[in-house]
Amino acid sequence: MTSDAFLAAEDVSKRFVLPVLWSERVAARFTRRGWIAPVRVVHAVESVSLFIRRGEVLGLVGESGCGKSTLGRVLTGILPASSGQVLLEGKPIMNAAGRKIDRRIQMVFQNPYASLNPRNRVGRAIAEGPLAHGLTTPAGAAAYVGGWLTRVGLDASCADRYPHEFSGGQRQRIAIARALAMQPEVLICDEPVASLDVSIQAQIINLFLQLRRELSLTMLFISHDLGVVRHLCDRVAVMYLGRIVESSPTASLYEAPQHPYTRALLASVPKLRLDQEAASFRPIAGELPSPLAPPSGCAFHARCALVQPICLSDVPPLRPIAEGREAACHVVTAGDARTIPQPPGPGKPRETPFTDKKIDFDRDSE
Amino acid sequence: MTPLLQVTDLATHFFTRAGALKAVDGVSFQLAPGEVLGLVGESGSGKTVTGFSLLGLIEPPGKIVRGSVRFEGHELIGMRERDLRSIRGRRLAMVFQDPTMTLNPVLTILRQMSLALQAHKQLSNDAIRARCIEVLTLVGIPDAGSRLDAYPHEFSGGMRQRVAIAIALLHNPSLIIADEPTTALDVSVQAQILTEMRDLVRRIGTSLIWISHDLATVSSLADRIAVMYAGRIVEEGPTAQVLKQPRHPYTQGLLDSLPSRTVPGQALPHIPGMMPSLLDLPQGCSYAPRCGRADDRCSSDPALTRVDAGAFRCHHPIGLDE
Repeated sequence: MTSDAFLAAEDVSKRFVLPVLWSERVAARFTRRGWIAPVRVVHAVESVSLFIRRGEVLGLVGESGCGKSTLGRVLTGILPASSGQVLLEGKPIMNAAGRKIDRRIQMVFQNPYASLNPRNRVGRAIAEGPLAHGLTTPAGAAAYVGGWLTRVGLDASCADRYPHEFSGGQRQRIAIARALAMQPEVLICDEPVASLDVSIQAQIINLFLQLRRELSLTMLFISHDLGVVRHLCDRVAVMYLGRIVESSPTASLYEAPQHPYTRALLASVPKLRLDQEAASFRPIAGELPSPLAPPSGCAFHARCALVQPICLSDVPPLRPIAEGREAACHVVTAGDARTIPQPPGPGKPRETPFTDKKIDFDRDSE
Repeated sequence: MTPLLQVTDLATHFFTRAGALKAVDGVSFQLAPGEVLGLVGESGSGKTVTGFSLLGLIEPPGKIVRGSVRFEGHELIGMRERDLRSIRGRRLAMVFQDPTMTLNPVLTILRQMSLALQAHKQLSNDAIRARCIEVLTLVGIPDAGSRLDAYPHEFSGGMRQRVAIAIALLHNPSLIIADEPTTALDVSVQAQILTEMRDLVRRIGTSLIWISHDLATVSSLADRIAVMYAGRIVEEGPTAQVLKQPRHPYTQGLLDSLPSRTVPGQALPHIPGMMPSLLDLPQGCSYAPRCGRADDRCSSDPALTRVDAGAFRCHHPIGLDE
């Protein structure tokens, strides 16, 4: 744990127990202890430790189902962690009863169509939290809300209108104003530009850049869009199946990704093709395994070109590989950051068919 | 070479209580056999409605108000529904954005594929099975024979989209229209599908219209790109030419908005404002209110100008302005 951590997650895990289906209750086994129905547990986040320095923007990237949104919600205090804790300036953000006790962390959600109550006027939606926390008074609420609306590039008069009167980009601005009106020090943004068109997306990215400068915000920026993350973030953490597999300052991560998954992920992004040459992207073989039955050892082993016998049995810990960089890989370790073997030649994905890996993993996890 | 598809001045309007919504308003383009056209635009630009219009899938209050779509020598606009049906799914197929919506959740993969096959052909059960396995293998589903009796929910998102593509391929169509087929998928899966689509198109010589909002995805696949804005194609041309030397300020604006083109941390050169309402389009060029190059001339409709192998609609094209 770094001492200059502002927001920190310490060994946080989050598991969801799925409700047992009726059909499974029928199939329940009777044992000496009674009826045992199969319990299905989703390991959404598995012992994640990370920190964000004051004023830093940390990007959290990964594919859908890797647990990045769940981690974001745990860090915000919306979801209690199954184990581990979240600390803000060294103090837990949850009390013993599992209630969030810190207003200084706020969240912006992906879909502004879903996160704004269609029946509330915008002004009321923004004022609700600050009023409850005594950040403004009923008499001063209108001016307070107007101030935040102006700050995100909207007119103060928008407060009297309903969400349906706004476009997607404007709604996202409203959602950002609502989070900022709580005067947070940490803003957790869960895919805030994913549902927006390219030209509008650029406007919102610029807004984040501007707000960060003006309010010296600390941010966690969750996204699957590696281009947006590169643009906005100082440091990036890469998640795969509930675990952080690599974290690194942005520039060095994109220049020289170390973990085989990070490399494969970066290589799979299509780039703008300006010449006639073949497109410069390469797919990752296979699919994300199910978090219901995570594979043994390193979760990436079945799709990894550098797989070793140890990867099938032991979970690699996240350990330092260079200044400010960490990776969770048995093959990529400190010292050989420059000499690690590269995956097989360009344009040639591993000769594995796109198998549905779930079956293998079930066997592995036994 | 005679074009496989020739679209001329196609216009599809939706007659709503608020007035006529001009979703597609005068779209013309053509497609050679085996060619891949990327149709790019933001939401509301009319790219999906264009795809639906080609297939004759426009329902009231929408109506194709004018234009012509010639496909393999047939005029599709105004064709009787019965004749259209014999073409749709057989010569002209579509892949939609969300395979969870287009696959029937209560039918096995085999059942839905055989329905699609039998719509145009009488085949024995063995022949159906063989054909299904053949196309599923073609789109990269391993051990297809054992997956035939599975239901859509037993497949992952990427696998489901492969099934949807396989269904489109059943009759060896000469044209596939794919509407944002990878938007709902993760980058790694998207890369798999893109690679497979590219190989398929080369191997079986099908033409493809790939509708997407993502310039990078389109550029990895398409021979030509058409950029749509507010119901019109504002620029069209060979992929490399459009991306390297865009003539229309909107194309340039879209390219500049991509984070990869700006130094990290710097403000992105974004396009101000948003797309005008299709109910109330501005006079002349629809992009003029957001355009830095606009002047008085832009209140009149810009004609289509051809340059090199491309074309654009702009009074002040980039690099050609007098």
